[in-house]
Amino acid sequence: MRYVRITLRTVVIVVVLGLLHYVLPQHDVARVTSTEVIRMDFSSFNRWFFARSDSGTTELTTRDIRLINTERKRTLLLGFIRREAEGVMVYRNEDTGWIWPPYFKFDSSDLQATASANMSAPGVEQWAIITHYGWRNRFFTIYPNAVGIRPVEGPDVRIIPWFNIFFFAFVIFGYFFLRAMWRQFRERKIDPVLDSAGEAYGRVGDHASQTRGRIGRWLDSWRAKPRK
Amino acid sequence: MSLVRLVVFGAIGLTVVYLAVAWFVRSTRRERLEKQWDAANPAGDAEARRAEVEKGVDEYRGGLVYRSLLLIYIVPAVLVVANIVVTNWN
Repeated sequence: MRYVRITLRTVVIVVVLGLLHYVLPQHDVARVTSTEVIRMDFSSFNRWFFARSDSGTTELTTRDIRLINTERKRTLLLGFIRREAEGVMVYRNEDTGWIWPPYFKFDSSDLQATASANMSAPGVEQWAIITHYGWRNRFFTIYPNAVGIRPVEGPDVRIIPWFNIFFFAFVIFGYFFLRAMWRQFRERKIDPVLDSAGEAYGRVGDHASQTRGRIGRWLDSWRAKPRK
Repeated sequence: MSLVRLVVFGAIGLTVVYLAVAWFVRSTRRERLEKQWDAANPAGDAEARRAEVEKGVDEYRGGLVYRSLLLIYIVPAVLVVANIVVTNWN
């Protein structure tokens, strides 16, 4: 039973962290080397990792995808540690429109133009910060979606992830608020009901004394614990 | 169409949040009023206590703090608009 609980808990935590890692914005320091458009014939699986066609258009099973090819600085530990090494990275550039994830991006064409305008050439290195979400996976053919490109002077720029800071601060606030709400609910709504239920059990009779012990303990587990 | 879906599900979700938070602040206010009343009238009768507490909660519902709970609808809407402007501004 204990192992089942630990396993379930681990699965839930891994799924939630994975979802956050996929959806939250991240910043890469990169040089745009080229842009291109390829036709994508989605499989039922990799379709999950693409957003939608341009927001004013209609959705078909196959369509063109804008790609931004880059050379970017590699990082360690979710981007917190910058490395000197470089590697290629390909971003897709798609509208998210009104759907999930809520980036409300409608300007894919403009972003493609921005990428082209800040193209890097041999000898003329142009660095940029590419804000994106999503994962690159070669086996499933999925790409992170670029949501913003900002040209910078050089690769040694300080990036402060304001959105993620506020997001996690809000999550912590929400956790404590929800906990306070649950405690109040238990104290004001569940405990009074349990008290009267307990009295009703007391009236049932002696033969129920054993059951009362077990059910009573279960009822007690719902009661508010004394506040520290 | 997806805009309609966003608005509908957003409204449902925010209404759940609004109702929960509204219940929570009313409940904590009621608890505090009860405790105040108990401290002031150690041997008061239950009917007077109930009437007094309900009056206090009703007053609280008319107050500025309780009405500002409408921000639960307004703030996300403003954030979405701000997000649209920031993401798509050139």
